[in-house]
Parts: sequence; structure tokens; C-alpha cells
Amino acid sequence: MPSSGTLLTRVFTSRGQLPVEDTAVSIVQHGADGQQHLVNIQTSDQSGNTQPTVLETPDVENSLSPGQPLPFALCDIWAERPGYQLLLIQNVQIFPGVVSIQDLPMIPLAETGGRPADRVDISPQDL
Amino acid sequence: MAIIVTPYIPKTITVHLGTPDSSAENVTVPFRDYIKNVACSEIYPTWRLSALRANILAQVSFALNRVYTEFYPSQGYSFNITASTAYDQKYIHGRNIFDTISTLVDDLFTTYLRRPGFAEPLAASFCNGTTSTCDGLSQWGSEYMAQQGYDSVAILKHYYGSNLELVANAPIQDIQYSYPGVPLRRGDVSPEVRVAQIMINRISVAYPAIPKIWPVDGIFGPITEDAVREVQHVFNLVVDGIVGKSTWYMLVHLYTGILRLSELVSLGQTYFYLDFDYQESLQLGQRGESVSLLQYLLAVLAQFYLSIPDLTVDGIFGQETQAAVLALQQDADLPQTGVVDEATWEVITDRFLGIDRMVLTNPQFFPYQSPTSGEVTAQQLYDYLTVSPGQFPGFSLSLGDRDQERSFS
Repeated sequence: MPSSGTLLTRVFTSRGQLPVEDTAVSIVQHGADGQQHLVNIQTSDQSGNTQPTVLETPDVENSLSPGQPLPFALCDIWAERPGYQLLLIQNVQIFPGVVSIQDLPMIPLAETGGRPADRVDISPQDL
Repeated sequence: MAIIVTPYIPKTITVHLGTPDSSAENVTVPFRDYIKNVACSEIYPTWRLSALRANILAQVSFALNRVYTEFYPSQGYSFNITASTAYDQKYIHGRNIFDTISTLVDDLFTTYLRRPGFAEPLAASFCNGTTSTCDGLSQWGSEYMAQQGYDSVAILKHYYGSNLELVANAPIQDIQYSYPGVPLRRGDVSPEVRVAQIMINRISVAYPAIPKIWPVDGIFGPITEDAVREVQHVFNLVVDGIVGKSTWYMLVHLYTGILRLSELVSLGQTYFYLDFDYQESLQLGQRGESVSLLQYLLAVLAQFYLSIPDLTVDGIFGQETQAAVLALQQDADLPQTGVVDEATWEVITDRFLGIDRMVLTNPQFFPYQSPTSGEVTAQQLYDYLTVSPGQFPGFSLSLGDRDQERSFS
């Protein structure tokens, strides 16, 4: 049975972490073929939560000693809601048997239009 | 030579998102979250727990050493540590966190390493042990030792020497509500339970799914337990209905954040009549109502843009205000002058008005607040009058009256 990990996201705004409902959260997985595959699109509930997403990952052996193939699966997460800046998190890591928790802090758009998407790019561990 | 004081755990840490001299932004984040981020950026979450613990303790110690020795401020920098692995530890702002590591950090972020006889947290260096070697912990070496069955203390002593002490439960600086030391659970009766109930109720104003606890009596009963479980579920904590360290510090973090935002919303009432048009340039040394308004706007922005430090609204344009202006200018790609010219003012008000529209005037988050335009809808007024305490009893009160049972036909 292939290994898998779980991804949880939560959408909120401000340091006080007020929940942002009705945010479209899209999870896009990087396939082995170099293509990107849409895994799902969910809308955040009244607490800003989405349902867990299970994703296929490499085997745990890859992360337990040096020099192994890539130990994690990669995906991108888009968070979009009218009135807020678009947020893109790139290269979110999913490990086998581990829950990845990705906070999605949304910033309200400025009155006169916004900026290009807020972007977080996660580089791999230097191991 | 610095005065020897007991090292504390800082409530927040300011991280420079690049090498020390680069023009990167600074972000100020809770210390616990910083460590979670570093641990997730440096090592793999699938490793043995004892390896994870050893690495986390080294990371905590290293960061505390930077803070305690004022390493960067003493060189004139305005941050505590950098995100650069060439100088400090790997930190990727906004990255995902792994549950295995998160749970351990919740427990360990107030524990650090030191040499016996020295107050200073150990400047615990580490490296991956393959492409780089060093005089400290080897990350791959620690996992290998853990696989052989060694515990975290044995691993740490192997790399840092046997003259090593662990200081556990170091106090957190300036924290208003310290963790009571033991988990709170069903059946407990204490002032700490009451504090937890108050914090949960305030947080739950914005979270309809979290049950409201009534009465707030310091008794950990079934309603309190349900509320705790829902809080844990919403915020991706372990759902056990028990307020341990993880849950407690999450509550404190959320509560103080909500309070600060509420405070600003209330303060905003005093400015709603003011013109948001640009009047004059503002800079260090000035005082007055224009400065107060500027500070209020920046303080609100600071709640949403993490690179802008929070500031006091006191009408005096000092260093704190200038720091916020500079951070805003950097974030908005404006010339970093520290002076609020028209272009800077336009960006500030532009961003503020967006926040005001989406959040500050949203009755779901801030009930009973009138919008900045000063108008109140009939519905808002009705809600306010029918729900707020102190409703007119229906008959006059005068000197000599006493409360008594009355019947109303």
C-alpha cells in the first residue's frame, strides 16, 4: 500500500486570527511526470477550516538516512477570497504518516486594487 | 559586559529574512512559532522522537543565546536573529508545520541547554553531518543515534560534551497569563480554569462553532470541556479536552491578539470624524492629533502585515513610530525615509480602508461598533439596545428605593 500524509489548512486574518469563511482553497500536487494536478478545491467553513486532504508520498525510508530519493511529496496551495489578497504557498511538504498544517493568513486588499499574489516558497531542508 | 540576569524565554522574536546586511524585511513572531518553523525547516518530521527533541533543544538554545547576548542589536541591527543558515538557523516565513514537531515544541520551547555554572544559554551550533561538519550536533548523526536507542540527553551530551545542563520551564517574559504548570481538566476548580474560560469566550465571539461557556465560574465542567475540544479541533491541536501547555499558550496567543485588535477598533471610534486626506508630511519629533491618527492607522496595519511592528498610539512621533513607517515603506517599495510624505500616506490609508471594510466594520467580528462613517443602521441599534446589559427597568428609581420582588401584570 502506497504511503500517504495528510494536509490541513486553516484560513484566518490578522494576528488575532479571525476566521475567514468561504475562501476557495485549491491544492495542486506536483506529479512525478513534472505536471501539476489539481487535487481538490474546498471552501473554508465558519471557523476557517477545510477538510483534511490525504496525499500520496514517498516511503518513510527515504527520510531516515542521507542520500535517499526525495522523502516528501510536494504541493502548492492557493487561497482566494474576494476582498482579500490572493495567497500562494509553493512547495508545501507532505511526509508519510505526518500531518502537515498550513496556516493561510489572508490580508484584506487595499482600497485601490491589490498587489501580485503573496507568495511563500518552501525550500527543502539542507540534509 | 552584560549584567548576569536569569535568561527568560522572549514572548516574541524579530527575525531578519535574509543575511544581516541584506535589505530583507524583519518579522516579529511568537518565539514558540519561530522554533516550530526552524525545526520544520531544518530536519525531517519522520525522525525518532529523541532525535527531534535533541535538535529542537539545540535550536532553542541557539536562539536564546542570540537573544540573551544581544548579538545583533549590539552590532547596531534592529533584529534578534536572521533566517539565513550561513549565520543562524533556517527559517522560512509562512511555511507549513508538521504535527510531530509541533507537539514536541509546545513542550520544549521553554527548555534550553547551558554549561554548569553559567547562566547563558548554550550557543548550540549544528550542521547536517554529511555535506557539512562542525563542532556541534550532527543532524544525521542525531537521527542515527536515536535509531540505535539513545535518548535526547545522551545525544546532546555526545555532541556538546558531558558538562551540559538542561534548564526546563524557564519563565516567559512579559506573559500575562502563565501556564499553571499542570494541565487543566474536567473536574478541576481553580482561578486558572476561570482564566481559560474567559479566554475561550472572548475567542469564541468570532468562532460560532465554539460553545460559549456560562457561567464563568472556574469549574471545569462538560460545557468547558466541549469548548476546549472545539478550540483544539479548529486550531489543529490534539483534541483531548485538556488544557495542557499547547492549548494554554494557543489560548493566550489568540486572546491577546483579539484584545489588541478590539482595542484598536474601539480607539478608531475617536478618529472616525477625521479627514483621511493627506494634510502635511509627518516625521520624527512631531506631536499632535495628526501623529495620533497616523499611529492608529499604522497600528491597525501592523495587525495584518507582519513586517510592520506594533506601536503605541500616544501622539508623539518617536523611534517606535519611525520604525513602523520604515517597515511600511519597505514593504510597499517606497523610499525608506521614515518620513510620511503624500505617497506614503496614500499607501497607509489605502491599505487601512481595505482592512476597515473587510474586518474592522464586520459585525461578525466586532459587534456593536459603529462604522467609521459614523452611521449606525437601525438593526445594529436595535441589537445593541436589546442585548446590552443595563436595560431601563421600566419604572423610575429615586433616593430611598430598594430592590424587591415585583410582579408585572
